[in-house]
Amino acid sequence: MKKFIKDYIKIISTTLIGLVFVLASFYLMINYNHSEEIKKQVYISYNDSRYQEGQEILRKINDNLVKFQNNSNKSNAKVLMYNSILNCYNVLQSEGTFFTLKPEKSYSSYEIYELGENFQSKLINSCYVLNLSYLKTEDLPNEFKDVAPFVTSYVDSINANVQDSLAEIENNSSYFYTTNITSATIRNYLNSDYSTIANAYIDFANIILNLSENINSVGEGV
Amino acid sequence: MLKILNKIILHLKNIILILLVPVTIYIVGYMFERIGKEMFGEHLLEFIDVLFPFILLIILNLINLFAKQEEVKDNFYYNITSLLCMIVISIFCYRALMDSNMYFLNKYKYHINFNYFSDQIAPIKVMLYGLSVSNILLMISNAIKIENKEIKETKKVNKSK
Repeated sequence: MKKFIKDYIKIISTTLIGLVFVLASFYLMINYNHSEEIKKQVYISYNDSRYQEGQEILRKINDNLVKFQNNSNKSNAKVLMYNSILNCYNVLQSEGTFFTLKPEKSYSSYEIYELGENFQSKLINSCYVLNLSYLKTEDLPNEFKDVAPFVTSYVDSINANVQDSLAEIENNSSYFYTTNITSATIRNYLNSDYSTIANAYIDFANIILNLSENINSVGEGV
Repeated sequence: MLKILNKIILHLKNIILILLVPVTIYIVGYMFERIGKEMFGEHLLEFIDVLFPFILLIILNLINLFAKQEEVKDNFYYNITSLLCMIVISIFCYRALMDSNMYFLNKYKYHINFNYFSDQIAPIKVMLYGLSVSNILLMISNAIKIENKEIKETKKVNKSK
């Protein structure tokens, strides 16, 4: 009887040790997986297509603003619009935005997060809210008024994408980031988050570019 | 060879366990301070809840060492699992303190990633309680073995008489 109890206790203890071994091994592996995943960085080369596209858009906006300055036919509404676009252009060029990133450098998850935060604080708050959201209300040419609702909804959707990417980067402090059922291998989430944020910058800059083209082309309107 | 390796693992896991206690107190202490909990006041039970599995395992290890629990001490499988657990808990502590790739460590400028460590408290408890229970079971098994020996010895004594 004693031998039976002794053997039985040994079986239970061995099974328990086995379960602890499995759990510890699982956490060892998932920590390795998680640390490998979150230490990935985004390398931005000078030839990066998004980087080049961004610089090209900035150059075009600058050309349009110079063209408007040289234009002798300026209505008050257009000057108002020009000032707004100029402010936005300065915001796009300010420190910490995608357009002032230094190429040939690697960026960590936190730096990419800051890039997304700057999109919200600078482009959305300082540019869109302060300078462009009045498109609907001011006495501007109809061309601007007609486009205003589309600009608003487009900016909303870009901002929502950026917000999703920021939430994903925030989640890198827990295993939620890697325990996704589909994630069996180490994946570079940061790269996709960076793509979303960089595309948001380019899409927003394209809105400014279109508006800057309009001040040189549209008629006086109402 | 296996005996020497077993002894090395046995002492190594004990040393790591003793080192892990102050590190865990340090992290949990800051966690409590950050959310305004009193470690030695109103929330003492919560603090003990985190620390208790460590203390329990240390007490059991001391018993193993001084009360000649051969069944536990010579169990290579138990010792290697204990060492693995200690390594994993050390990794948890290391990452909570040092892994700067995690967003929260950078964002809030705390020197500890509370978010990460609080996620790991549950697995730490499961592993340590698992080891403690299996240790107790091996101790019981050891005690039964001693009783068997005693029975044999008493039988021998009776025969000689």
